[in-house]
Amino acid sequence: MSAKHAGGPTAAAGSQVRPGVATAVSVSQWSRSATVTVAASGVGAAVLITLPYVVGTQVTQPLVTLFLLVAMAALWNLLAGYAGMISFGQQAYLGIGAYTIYLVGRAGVNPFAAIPLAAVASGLAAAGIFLLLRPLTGGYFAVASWVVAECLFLYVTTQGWLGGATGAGLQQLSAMAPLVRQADTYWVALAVMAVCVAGVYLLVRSRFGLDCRAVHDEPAAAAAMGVEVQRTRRMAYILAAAGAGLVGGVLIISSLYIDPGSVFSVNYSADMLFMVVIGGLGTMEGPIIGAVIFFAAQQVFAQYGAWYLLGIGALAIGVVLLAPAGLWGSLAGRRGWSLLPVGYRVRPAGQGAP
Amino acid sequence: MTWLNDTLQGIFLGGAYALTAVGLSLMFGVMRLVNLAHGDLAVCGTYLVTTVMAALGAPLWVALLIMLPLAFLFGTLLQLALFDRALSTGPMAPLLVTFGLSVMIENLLLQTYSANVRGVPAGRFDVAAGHIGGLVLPWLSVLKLVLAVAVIGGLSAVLRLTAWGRRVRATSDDLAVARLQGVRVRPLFAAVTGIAIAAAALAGTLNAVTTGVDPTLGTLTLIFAFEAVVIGGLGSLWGTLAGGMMLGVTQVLVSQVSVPYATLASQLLFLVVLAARPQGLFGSALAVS
Amino acid sequence: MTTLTVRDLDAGYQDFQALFGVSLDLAEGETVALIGANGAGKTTLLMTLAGALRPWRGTIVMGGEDITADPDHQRARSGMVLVPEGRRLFASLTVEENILVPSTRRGAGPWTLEALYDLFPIVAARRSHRAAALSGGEQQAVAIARALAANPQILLMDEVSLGLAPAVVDDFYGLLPRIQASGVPILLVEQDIDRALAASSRAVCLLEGRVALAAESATLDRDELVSAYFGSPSGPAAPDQEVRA
Repeated sequence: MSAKHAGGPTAAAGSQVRPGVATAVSVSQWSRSATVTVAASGVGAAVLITLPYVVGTQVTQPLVTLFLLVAMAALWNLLAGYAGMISFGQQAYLGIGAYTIYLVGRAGVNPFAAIPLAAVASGLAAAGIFLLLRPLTGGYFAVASWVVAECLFLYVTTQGWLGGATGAGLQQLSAMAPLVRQADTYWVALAVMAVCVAGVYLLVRSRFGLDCRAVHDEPAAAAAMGVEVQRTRRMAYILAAAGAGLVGGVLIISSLYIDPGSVFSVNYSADMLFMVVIGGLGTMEGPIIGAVIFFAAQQVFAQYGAWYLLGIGALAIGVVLLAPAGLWGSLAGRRGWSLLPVGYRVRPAGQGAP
Repeated sequence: MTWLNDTLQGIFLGGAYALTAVGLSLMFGVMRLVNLAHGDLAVCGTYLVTTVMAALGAPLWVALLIMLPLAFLFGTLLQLALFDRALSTGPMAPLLVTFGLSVMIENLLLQTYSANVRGVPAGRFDVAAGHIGGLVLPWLSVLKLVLAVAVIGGLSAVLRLTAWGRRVRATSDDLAVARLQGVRVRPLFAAVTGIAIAAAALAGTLNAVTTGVDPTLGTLTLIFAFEAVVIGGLGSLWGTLAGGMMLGVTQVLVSQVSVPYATLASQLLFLVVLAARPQGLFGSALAVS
Repeated sequence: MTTLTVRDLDAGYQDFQALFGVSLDLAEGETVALIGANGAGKTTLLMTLAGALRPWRGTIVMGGEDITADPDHQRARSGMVLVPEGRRLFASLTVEENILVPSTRRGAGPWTLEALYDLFPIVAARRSHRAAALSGGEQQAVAIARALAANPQILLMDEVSLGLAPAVVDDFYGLLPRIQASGVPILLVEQDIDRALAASSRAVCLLEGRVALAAESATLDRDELVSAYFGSPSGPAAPDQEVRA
């Protein structure tokens, strides 16, 4: 618990460990591998940014899908892996984000510029919806969140001004040259992914993240220590929803069309679950790896129809029962690897972190 | 008079929901397991019935009689091979595993049977109806209600009156102590799941006589079943019947006013009950977490 | 009735070891008191014997049969029955249903439903009431009756006086001889040392997961007991000092 009071990400503290034995230790939340990872990510991001100038849309379009998958996985992991809330209703906020862009676009605002609005709309909706979901945990929470998404879906299908069951098109962008629009969409998707991943990472590293994990592990003990359990859960829920709103905004911009049956589909939740579980629930690296694997499987096996989903489902079940830490968790857990460290490490002072 | 008839049809619909939900309620009450694959298993049973009917040229009732023991067996295998492990792995595992199973079943059915809606022929029984005054009594709907009451009544009686039922209730109260008193929990859970899946498959098949079946039907089936269980209250089988009734009556009455809003209305009812009284009509306050 | 032989039992919870090389014997008709401070490992030992905890090392032999690998429900069926700490009745069941749950070995011994109602008149009076509606003392009686209903070969009793009024505890210890008369070996965990010694022929004292003292209850040296209970000032007994109970 002393880690909670350590200031900033790095604090070196010399301390007496046992009477008669003087040991200086350093407490650090960072590591050399983390520096490498962040640097490599920076380079990677730079490369990704230049791609639309270098390759065609047959490369950038699938990458948009990948970026959104990574974002969704990171967000779902914030909820399930860190805050302990399994939600099967995040697609509600995909939809709210998408429809916000649609409506704002109809009002004459540039859809690209309106993307932050999608986050705001989803966040506000989540704040309201959480009032309903507050007292629930476990299966109740999961299915109730699913029902909320279903309600939104049913509501939208009855509303003509939202396009009803057939959906709505984003007219404002049709005047744009396709290549420019697709490049812009690509960059926005990249930005959304970066914001979501970095946002989740910074959040989890902060005091909030510690609270989250405490609540996840032992809510009673956390509450006894003064952690405001419900406030923590609410923050996590709202932020995850806001992120999903961003993703939803990109979805409608990317396909120029929104169809309630697909945007509010629980299949998105299934995808999020698979990515995070297979990659590694409760780690930062896991969901990213899971998203990449899922994306690759989608690209390679989609031609075989729904069989690949069958395989992914079986794999996810196997992971939950046999290797609950997921791919990254199993590999890295035992070896203590951490590319994106979240917790604190205590080392004898002077010894650098690996 | 039409209001009375509508309410009656709502009650019939409630009976159908309750029959669909009773297995979920049982598993939830005994094992604290929310089987998210419940709806898909019901659909799976329905497809099995259609396959048997087509393969043997058998009428619906014969196919049902063949399918039900198979469904029971499959339920016990699922419990022994998958759910037991999930329950002992951790609190999240059952949700993740049953959800994964649900996706697997849907896609398996999609690949095997195609996405087209398939009918379940029942001769003239699916449209035959009795009439009393202004009230319409579709015999299939009556059957579903009767079955719902019979299954719930039968299970309640077994739970209350038999030694096995006593052990089930004891295990539901305190699993660890039940084991310490010599109760063999694994076969008990296996039987419970077997019953749950068989009931679900029966309900799914009878419902499909009216609406047909398609691989994606499981999702909505699960949602309505879950809602009936929650509205009625955890651990109460009769509560599930009441919950089903409330959903059914709401849906039918609203559909008289506006068809598109009918399904939404029952979803909202669920959310309202969840907000106002999360433990349901007949559940205890401990039920929610 | 049978005997119990425990050798070199190590057990614990995940990373935490709670029992270190515990050995003890229980003969037919014997009542052995298991005493020790809180956290000494008494409940852990009973839970390990009952099978709720898997031993890390060591053997448990009941009536000549090695039951170390048996799961908890198997042990209960073989006759190793636990009255759990804190009663732990089945709350939604009636008193009578609680007693009827252990269905094995009923009829294979003296404890029929009638015999139990005779032993515990308060239980008989409340037989159709839900267990959750009973007072602490009544619940304790039901818990014991439930264990006896299985006609145990070995009876493990964990802190039966916990949270009960002294008068109620007096009643229980007044009844204990009738239970002992049936010849069943009893391992009795009890905080109240005087009562424990009065009710038992031998006493075993645990300290930090080890057997620190084992002796006849009647001739137990008070000073030895105090040092075994609280540990002597120079620290706990050395690990290689094996004390066979």
